[in-house]
Amino acid sequence: MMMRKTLIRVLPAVAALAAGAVFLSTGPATAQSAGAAGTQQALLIPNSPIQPLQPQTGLDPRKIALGERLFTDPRLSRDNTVSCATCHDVANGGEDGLDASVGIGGARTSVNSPTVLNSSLNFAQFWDGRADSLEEQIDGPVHHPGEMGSNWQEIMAKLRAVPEFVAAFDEIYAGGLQIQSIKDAIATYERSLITPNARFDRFLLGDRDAINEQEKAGYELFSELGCISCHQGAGVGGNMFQQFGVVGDYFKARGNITQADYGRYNVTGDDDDLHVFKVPSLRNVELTAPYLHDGNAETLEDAVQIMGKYQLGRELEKQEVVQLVAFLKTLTGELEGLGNE
Amino acid sequence: MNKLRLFHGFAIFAAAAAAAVCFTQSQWLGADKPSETVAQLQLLKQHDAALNQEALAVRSGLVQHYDPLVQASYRVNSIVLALQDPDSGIVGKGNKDVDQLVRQYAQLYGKRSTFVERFKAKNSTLKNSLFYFPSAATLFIKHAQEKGAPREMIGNVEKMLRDLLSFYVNGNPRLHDRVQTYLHEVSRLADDVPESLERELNGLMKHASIVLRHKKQIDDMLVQITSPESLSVLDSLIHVYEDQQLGAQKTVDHYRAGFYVSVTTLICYLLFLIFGALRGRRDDDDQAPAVGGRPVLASTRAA
Repeated sequence: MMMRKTLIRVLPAVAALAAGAVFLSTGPATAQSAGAAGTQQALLIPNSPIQPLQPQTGLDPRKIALGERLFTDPRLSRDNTVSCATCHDVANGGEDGLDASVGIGGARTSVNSPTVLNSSLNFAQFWDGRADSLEEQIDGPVHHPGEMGSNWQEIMAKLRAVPEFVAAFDEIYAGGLQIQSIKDAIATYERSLITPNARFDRFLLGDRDAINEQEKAGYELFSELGCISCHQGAGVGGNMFQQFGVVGDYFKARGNITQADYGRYNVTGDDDDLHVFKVPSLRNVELTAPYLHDGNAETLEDAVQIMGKYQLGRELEKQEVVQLVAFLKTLTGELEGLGNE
Repeated sequence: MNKLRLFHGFAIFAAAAAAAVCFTQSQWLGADKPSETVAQLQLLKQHDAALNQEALAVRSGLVQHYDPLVQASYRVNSIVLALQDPDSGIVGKGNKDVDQLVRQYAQLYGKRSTFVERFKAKNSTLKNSLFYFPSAATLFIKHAQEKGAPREMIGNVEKMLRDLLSFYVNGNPRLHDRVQTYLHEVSRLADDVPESLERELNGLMKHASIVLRHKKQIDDMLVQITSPESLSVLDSLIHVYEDQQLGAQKTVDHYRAGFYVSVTTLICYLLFLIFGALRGRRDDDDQAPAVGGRPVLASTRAA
C-alpha cells in the first residue's frame, strides 16, 4: 500500500522529467519561421509615369506626437534657437521660404532647404543624397556647425532634464530615451507628413474633371518635353540622381561656383558625379519657393525656364511655362488642413 | 552504507551533468534560427532577381517610372545589411566561407547599386534625347533647305537621323562609327550654316551625341546590373550555409541522442533506487513486531 502511494508520488515527477526532456530537446531547435514575406505596393496605374500618392498608414500615433514635439523643439540646437521646424516649417510647404536657411548664430546654409513634406518618399536624403534614410539624415543638421551645431550628448542631457520627454520615451520605447529612439520618433513624424489627394492624384484615379484643360495641357507638355523622364513615380521625383546641366552649363552661366554645387561628387569623389543632384519631388512645389539647390529660381516660372534650358535644351515659350506651372500646381496635396483649394 | 550513498549520489550527479551538457549543446543551433536565415537568403535571391527584372522593364519601357526599381534595390540592401549585422546576421559566427561570401555579395551589390543609380540618370537623359533628336533633325533639315544651307550638311544630318535610330535599335558598332563620322562632318561644316540655324544645329548635335554615348553606356551598365555573378555568389552562400547547418544539425542530433540516453539512464537509476528503497522498507516492516494489537505472523505460529 505504502509502495503504491510512493509510486503515485514519484511517477508523475519522473514522467514530467521525461516529458520536459523531450520538449526541451526538440522545441527550440525545430522552431520554424515563415520568414519575412516581401510586400509590394500595388501599383494602381501600372504604366503611368506618375503614380497617385497613397495615404500613410500604420505609424504609431504616440511616436508621431513625440516626434512632432522633438521636431519643433529648439533644444536640439546648441544655443536653443533652432529646431528642425525652423528650416522645415510644415505650415509653409515644409521649408522656410529662403534661398539658404539660417542656422545658429545667424549662419547661412550652403543650399536651399528641401521640403520635409513627403520626404519619406525620397530614395536618399539631402540634395547630394549622402544619407540613405531619414534617421541617418538627422545627424547632418544636428552636428553641422552652421545649422544646429550640437551633438547627441548635449541633446540627451537637455532632454533628460525634461521629465515629460523621459516619461514619453519610457512609455513608447523599450530602451526609453536614447539617441536611436529620438531619431526614430523624429523620422516617424516625418514619415507621417505625406500629402495625398492632390487634384492630380484624383485625376489619375479617374476623376477626369479634377484638373482643368490648361492643367491637362500642362501635363501633356510635361510629358512631351521630357520633364517626366526624371520627375516620375509617386513623388514626381525624389527617386533618382541627375546631372544639373545635361545639355547646357548652368554653373558656368550662373558663376560663383561653390563646393555645394559639386553635388554628389562631394559624396563619391567620382568625376561622373560632378554637378549631380537628387531630383527633387515636385509634390507641393507651388509652396516651396525659392527653387533649385541654390535657391536661384525665385518663382516656379523661373525654375521651369531654367530646367527647360539646361536639362532639355529648350527655350520654353511663355504659354508653355504658364501651362506647365498650372499643371505643377495640381500636385499640391492635403496635410492636416493644408488644402489645395 | 555511506560509501554506497556516495556512489549513488555520484552516479545521479554524473547522469544529470551529462544530460545538462548534452542539452546545452543540442540548443545552440536553435539560437541561430537557421531556417529563418535560409528563408532570408532565398528571399534575397528573389529580390535580386526582381532588381534585374525591374531594370530591364524600365529599359524596355514596360515601366515608366523608377519606383519599383528603387523598391527592389531597397529590399536587397535591407537584407544585405541584416546579414552583416553582428548581432542578428550570419557574419562573424565562425564560418569564414560564409563571411567571405556575404562580403563578396555585399561588394557586388554595392557596385550594382552604383550602376543602378547611373543607369536611371542616363536612361532618363537618353529617353529625352531619343525623343528630341528625330524632330530636331527633321525641323533642322526643313529650315536648312529653306535657308539655303549646304547640301552636304543637310545630307549628313539626313544620314545621321537614319543611322542613329538604327544604331539605337540594334547597337551595331559600324553604325556607331558612321554616326560619329557624320557628327564630325556636320561639326566641320557648322560655320557655313546660317546664324539663325546655329542653335537648332547645336541642339540636334547634342542630342545625337547623347544617344550615341548613353546607348552604349546604358547597355554596358545593364550587363553589369543583371550579371549572373551575384546570383551565383548567392547560390554558393546558400549552399555553404546549408552545408554548415547540416553538419551542425548532425552534431546537435548526436547531443540530443546523448541527452535522451542520459535522461533515460537517470530515470531508470532513480526508479531502481526508489524500488530498492521501497523493497528494503517492506522487508523491515515484515520483520518488525506487531503494532497496535495485530499479531505478528511468526509469533502467532510460534504460539
